[in-house]
Amino acid sequence: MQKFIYILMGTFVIATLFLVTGCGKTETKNPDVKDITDKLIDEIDFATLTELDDDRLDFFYKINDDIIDSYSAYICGSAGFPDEIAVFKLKDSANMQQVKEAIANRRETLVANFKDYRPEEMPKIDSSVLFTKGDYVIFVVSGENDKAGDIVKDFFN
Amino acid sequence: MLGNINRSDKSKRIINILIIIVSILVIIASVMLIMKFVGREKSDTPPNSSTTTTQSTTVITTTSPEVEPPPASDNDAVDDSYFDDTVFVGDSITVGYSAYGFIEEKSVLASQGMNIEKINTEKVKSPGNGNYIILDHLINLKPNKIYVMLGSNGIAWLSNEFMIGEYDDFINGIKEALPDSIVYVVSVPPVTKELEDGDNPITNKMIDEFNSGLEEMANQNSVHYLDLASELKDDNGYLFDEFAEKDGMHFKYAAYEKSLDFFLRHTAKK
Repeated sequence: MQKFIYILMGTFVIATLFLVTGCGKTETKNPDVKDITDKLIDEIDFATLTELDDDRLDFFYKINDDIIDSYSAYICGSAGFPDEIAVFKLKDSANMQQVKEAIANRRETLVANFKDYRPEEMPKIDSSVLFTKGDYVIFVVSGENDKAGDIVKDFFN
Repeated sequence: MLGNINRSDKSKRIINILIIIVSILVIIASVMLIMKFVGREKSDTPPNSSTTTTQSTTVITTTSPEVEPPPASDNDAVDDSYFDDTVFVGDSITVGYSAYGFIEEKSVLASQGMNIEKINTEKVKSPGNGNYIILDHLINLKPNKIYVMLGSNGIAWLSNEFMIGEYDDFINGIKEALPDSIVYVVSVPPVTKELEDGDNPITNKMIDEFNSGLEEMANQNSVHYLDLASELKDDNGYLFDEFAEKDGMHFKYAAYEKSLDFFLRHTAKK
């Protein structure tokens, strides 16, 4: 009887530990792209951003629509700052390179726009975040890129 | 017998201790679960923010204006189809018309840092439209209406005489190449008090003086002068805080709405 009680309690403790540690890993490996941008906007002090729709996304990021599962992207509406967020979830991570090239081109455009016009904004672009994990590619330009990078990583830990 | 009783007491004590430990662990786990759930709900509802949606554009703003801008009148307003065959020329402030989704990118011939000194020499680098000199591209597009707003870049370091002279050349270039196009020259917008009080050398007095020369140049060239600046400034001559980006010069969404509304209420047949 004693042994049985010990086994039962041990099982209970182990189950509880699994429950506690396992909960942190449930939903974050496949996060919704909008959840990521919402959290970034909530916690980072960006310049005023405006959201990109399908047509306008195409102007700033040349990516074949067929390879994108979902996206959420914002640029600085006033054009006075390089602040930007682009979160892409691909249908297949094999197409990652195309998205990374589109982001690289966009980054070059930001450099060209701001290096002479507002050189004080260049550190935001120089330290911009480019994060890839599984089917996700994420690009962030802000005044708090370290923090932005941590926010993004937390979705995948 | 005594030994049996002692062993029994010891077992009961151990069991009791284990029960207490397990109970504590369950309580800790429950608290952690509750905190995680509450934390997830908080991040779904950002505090102190408002959203407005127009067409397919969503803008996140966090502002509380100290002074309300005056309401716009709607005398003789035309609808926004007026902008269908229109091009907007300018600097980063003009880029915002397309960045915010009000005007298509192909109809905004503008770039960050553009000024009247280099308008005929520096190419605009556009990912969608290629690289071009603005006047050359205007001639290609042949728009029915052209809005030109330049001067924010330059007022602080170029003389008014030089800038107005260059502006005059540019406008004449447009008139010569596109004689049938309606040309609007738009005044340079004001800046906020905060910007004026800071390190930026630009002041609203400088802007007003430049705009005065601009209006004279526009009249001499028989093109239309639009005093947008007056629409955007408060009683003290500063850009309304509600309209201003954090740098005190660039526009928020509301300023573009106001500007386009102003343009639609001040149109010319020719």
